[in-house]
Amino acid sequence: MNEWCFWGYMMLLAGSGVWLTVNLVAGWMQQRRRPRQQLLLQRSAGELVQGLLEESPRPLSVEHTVHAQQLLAELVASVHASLYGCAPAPLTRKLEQRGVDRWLVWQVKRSRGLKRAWALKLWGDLPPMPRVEPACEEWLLDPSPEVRLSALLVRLSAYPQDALRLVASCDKPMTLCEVSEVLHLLRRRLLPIAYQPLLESRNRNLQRLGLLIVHEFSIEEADEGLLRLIASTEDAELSLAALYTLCALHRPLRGKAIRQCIERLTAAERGVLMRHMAREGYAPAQVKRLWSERQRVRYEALVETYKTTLVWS
Amino acid sequence: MARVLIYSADRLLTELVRVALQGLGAEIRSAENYERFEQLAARMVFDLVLVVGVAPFWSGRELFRRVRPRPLHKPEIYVLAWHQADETVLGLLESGVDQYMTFPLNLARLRGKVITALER
Repeated sequence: MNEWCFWGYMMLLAGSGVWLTVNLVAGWMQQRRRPRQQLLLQRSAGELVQGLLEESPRPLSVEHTVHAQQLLAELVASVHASLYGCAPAPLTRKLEQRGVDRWLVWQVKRSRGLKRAWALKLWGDLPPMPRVEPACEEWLLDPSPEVRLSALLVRLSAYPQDALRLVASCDKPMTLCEVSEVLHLLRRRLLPIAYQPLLESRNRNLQRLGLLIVHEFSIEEADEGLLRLIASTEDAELSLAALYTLCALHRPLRGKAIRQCIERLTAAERGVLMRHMAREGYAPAQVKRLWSERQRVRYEALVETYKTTLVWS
Repeated sequence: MARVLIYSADRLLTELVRVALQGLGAEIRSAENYERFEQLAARMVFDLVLVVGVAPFWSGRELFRRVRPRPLHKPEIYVLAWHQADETVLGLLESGVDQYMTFPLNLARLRGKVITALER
């Protein structure tokens, strides 16, 4: 029995050693390859753009290397993100010719967690590839939020016209960061978005997107919608986000709805809001009705700190 | 012959811009770090400097002073970057940048602007 244990232990040790060596060698080789790959990517970027400008696709240096699909995907993603006004069809054709679409699906299927999210993110950065587009649907329900978001971005970049329906169909509430990613993508696709229906929608994710649009584009006419959201008591987090958006627009902070929203906040949340208001430049007289006597003194002190002077100098 | 200098740490973007400016009949040089940029700026006078990418808290004042000493109005300096914040753009314009363009770029538009700058 002891002998068996000994040999088992030795086998395990040898296996670990082999695994470690293989990983070390692979890492070392990858490190050695990287400068050459960078050079190839640079040359290929030139060739790719030249082909796009002359409308005659040409073979790229990067196509004949180890990991050609990954390098080609990274190259096309960078070029696609950096340029506009070039038709995406030649890029899609190039990707499909080299089998990058199938390679990406395979990558997503075989990996897990962040690696899968990375592959999906890369996929989302590429021009639409209709041949494999439906395959990403199953990852919209992945337990990992990073994977879910990346899959959503792939769908959005393929069907930007269905963006709102796709965002609304997300069953989990999206974070500010996730909504920002969606907005970034929509901006990149130059999609005109009406903020009003979003603010009026019953879907939280769409409301969040509407708030972000109002904030990003400084839409001062959105007062009414914002006040309606502030007044609603269904979702405290959303009302607070609406209040912050209103502050960012430097609109007057008057009304019962705003006062009630502030009353609902905890002391810590109120402190953060105060600092935000001071940073946005609200004079104590403008907001005195929102605070109690003690809070008013605190706000005045906040406005007079050197930090506020720094922000406004 | 007109001279254009592309200053960028990102080789890929440098290449994109270089290809876009091909065939203008201008001598195009590129610098991927500040040392190389200083060397080139000391050795020759450029008609246009394209700075690709900016970093947070970078006003570029030092770099622009190096390439365009006080009394000179040449070269023109264009910055191409991802930043869209007003503070960044205004800061750069106040430091002496002539044009600020954000990514994604339209290469035809960039080419047109460079042609106009070189003609000036």
